[in-house]
Amino acid sequence: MLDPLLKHAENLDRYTELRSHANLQTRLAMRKGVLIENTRVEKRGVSARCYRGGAFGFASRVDDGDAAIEAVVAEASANAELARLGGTGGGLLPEAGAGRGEFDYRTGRTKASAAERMAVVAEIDDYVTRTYPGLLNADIVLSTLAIEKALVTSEGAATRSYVPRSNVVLRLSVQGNDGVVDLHQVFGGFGDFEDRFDRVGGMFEAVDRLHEELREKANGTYCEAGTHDVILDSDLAGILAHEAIGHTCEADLVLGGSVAGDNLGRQVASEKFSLVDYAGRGPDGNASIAIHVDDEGTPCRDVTIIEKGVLKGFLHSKETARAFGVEPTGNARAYTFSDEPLVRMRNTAIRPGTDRLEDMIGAIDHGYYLKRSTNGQADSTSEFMFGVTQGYEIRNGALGRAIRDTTISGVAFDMLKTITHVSDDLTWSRGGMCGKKQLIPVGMGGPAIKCRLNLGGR
Amino acid sequence: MGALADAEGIDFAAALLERARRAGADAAQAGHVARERFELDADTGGVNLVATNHDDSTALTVFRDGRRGSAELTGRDEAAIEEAIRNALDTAAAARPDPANGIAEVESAPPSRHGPDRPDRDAMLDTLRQFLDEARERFPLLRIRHADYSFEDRRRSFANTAGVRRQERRAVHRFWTMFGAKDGERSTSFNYTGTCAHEPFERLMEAGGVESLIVDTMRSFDPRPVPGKFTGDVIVTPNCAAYIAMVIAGALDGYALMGGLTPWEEREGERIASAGFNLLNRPADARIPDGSDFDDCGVSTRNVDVIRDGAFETFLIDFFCSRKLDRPQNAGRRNLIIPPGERCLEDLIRETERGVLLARFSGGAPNHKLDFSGVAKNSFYVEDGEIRYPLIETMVSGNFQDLLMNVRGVSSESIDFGGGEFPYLVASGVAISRP
Repeated sequence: MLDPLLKHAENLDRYTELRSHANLQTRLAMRKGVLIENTRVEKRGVSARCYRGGAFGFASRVDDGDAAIEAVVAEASANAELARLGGTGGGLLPEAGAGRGEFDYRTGRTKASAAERMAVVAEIDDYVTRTYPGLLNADIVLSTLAIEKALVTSEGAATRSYVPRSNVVLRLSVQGNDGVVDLHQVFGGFGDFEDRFDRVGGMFEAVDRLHEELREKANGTYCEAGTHDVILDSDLAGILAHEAIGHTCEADLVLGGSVAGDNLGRQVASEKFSLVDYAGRGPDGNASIAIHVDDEGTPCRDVTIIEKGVLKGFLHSKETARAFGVEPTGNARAYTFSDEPLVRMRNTAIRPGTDRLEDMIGAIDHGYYLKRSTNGQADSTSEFMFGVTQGYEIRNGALGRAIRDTTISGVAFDMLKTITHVSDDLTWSRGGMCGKKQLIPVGMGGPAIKCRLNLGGR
Repeated sequence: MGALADAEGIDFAAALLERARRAGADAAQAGHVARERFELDADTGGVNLVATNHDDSTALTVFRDGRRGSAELTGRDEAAIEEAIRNALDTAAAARPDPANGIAEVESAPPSRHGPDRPDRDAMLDTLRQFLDEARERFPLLRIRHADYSFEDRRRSFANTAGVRRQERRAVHRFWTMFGAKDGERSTSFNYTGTCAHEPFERLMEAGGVESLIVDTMRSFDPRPVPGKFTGDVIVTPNCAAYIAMVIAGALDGYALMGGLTPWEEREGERIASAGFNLLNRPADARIPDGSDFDDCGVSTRNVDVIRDGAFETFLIDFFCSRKLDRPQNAGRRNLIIPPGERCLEDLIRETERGVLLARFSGGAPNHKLDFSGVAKNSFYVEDGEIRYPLIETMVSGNFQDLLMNVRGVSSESIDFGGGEFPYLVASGVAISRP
């Protein structure tokens, strides 16, 4: 994939990126045993982006032969000239080193057949249908996504990567006494299907736990609305890291008016709280995605966003780095061949602390332990919201009844100051897509944290 | 192979069917999309990107022994075509057979055409610059993060082995913007809107209700929570009504019915909303530029009333669900509309004793009962018939089934988003609270 680009690299005029890009996906979806989706998708093409006098031109085509490459470079250059007419001018983009190297995470095993992928879905369906005949519905979705890219730039970057992710999402539904109640779990994670789902039987213990937690939830109680002491388990802490803080600290959103812009260097969180957007595969080598060179050719580096409660830095592309007068951080990413790079998070995680989860639960007289989430949203004001699908009451330092669906909210730069405990472990999300003009896979991680925030109730 | 590389979309789709048949498919369908896109992106500082995309993608679905499998590819590369056919057949071979699988045996129709041939790029650039100039002059504290003005020309072709052939060319201008405001260290929430139309926009400030959203944003510094917890009214803006319509339609989907997950099973013909509320699906309406003449199975789209005068008329059933659930097909594409009412917004606000003007709902995905709970964003506190102040840290909770029954007003004003059109709605009985 890289070689066809290299011969064009020396002809790239002024600032130009040239990218060959393929998204390879499979998706199988089963509802109540009925196969409603069964497809393989391969989207590939080539794109170029040029920078001329403060503005970018971008062009993409589905072919990746020499003629298409020459065409996108010429078209992107012409588009940049048109953009320049409507822009306000600007200086050169900062140089940040030229990323080089091949980063290929494809499986070394024999590629699975369509029948083997289907067998995984069918085996899970057979198991839940046989074991739990009282289920109202079971949704099983197997999705794999591998993104293969090659990039050359006029600044000398030359790199190729293959980054896979494979997930099964299982959602179980039962009829509760006041309507349908459901709960879902994501299995799998970083890696090709062959590396993640070689033994389906190993999942069944987790499936049994999911069903037990669903049963508890169906008999559960509604939260008391209001402000409470809570423990956010790693799943929610990871979303907190991403939504409530990470987005606020994307430099393009800072330029757009995010409150983070006024707080650089200030104490915005408890001293126990540190947040990092990790490059590569993260500090433990187990992060949810891999990224070594971004789509502008910048070598990726870790970005400490918050260090011991003090806001330290933002996530940058070359364009935002120029605006702030800093070095690019390697956060410019594009989802498909026809997308231009935007400032995006990578593996964003709260650093583990020194507390034990049992002690954290024991420290709460009246509150909640929140385990699983659905979606989340944040705002330029740092006000955030997440949906919570599973959790428990905490009463007198011990777990109590399960709770029904609820919503948590708060203002991040206020709520982070209420953090009193951070657990000593780090768990990464298995899936996670972020939407910001384009979708993109992201990693979210964290320990459990104890804080105070608002819960919705009845 | 040269002939396939240069073939029209409909001929390419038909050629894929022939190859799939030769490779062992009992039946097959292929949908091809050729898309030409021109996009201008700007922020407060000016235009920062001009982009052009040339896309060519095909979705092939094959059927063999009652089994179904699909593959999608981009471009016309010979090896990629052969691999897509092989992948589709492999996935089909691995699938469970289902008598609901099959292709549509419907009438073909002549090609259709909607919208202009090409964009006037210079005029689009001028229009976008005028929007930025006007925004800077009238709203100096406004921070426009994105103002994207694009032209998209989509040529869809469909063919199946029953001889169905469909072609549609649909071109639209789209505008999408996201913005907030900042004054010193004071920041407002961001907000966004978007719309599309066949013809170019003369003045982007009038597109998709953006002007009124910007005016509201400029009034949103120094927000406060509501005074306390109470049960009151929500005056839902058209942008927020579009979200609610999407949630309701999702619960009235054939797949929700298949899973036993809809709260309205066996309720067709019954009242599920107040009498003044209507929810329509209008993919075939000429006034909907983002509509469709046929669905992914080549079946002509239909305009249907989902909720009419508060009564639940029909689930939204696509081709597969139709065969699976033995119900008539009435949907395969979705363009929702809530028709306007007869009362003006000013009167609806004046009649509101206590509540929230809800412009954006930032909440968890509703559960299958349609309970909702989330934060009121870009919203205002309303008391004694007047808008009082902007809100922060205010939560609205309730149930969308109840909300539909409690709609007490639908405004005569509405906003055209290109893919649908929505008015303001007023509903009572929503729990509104602060920390």
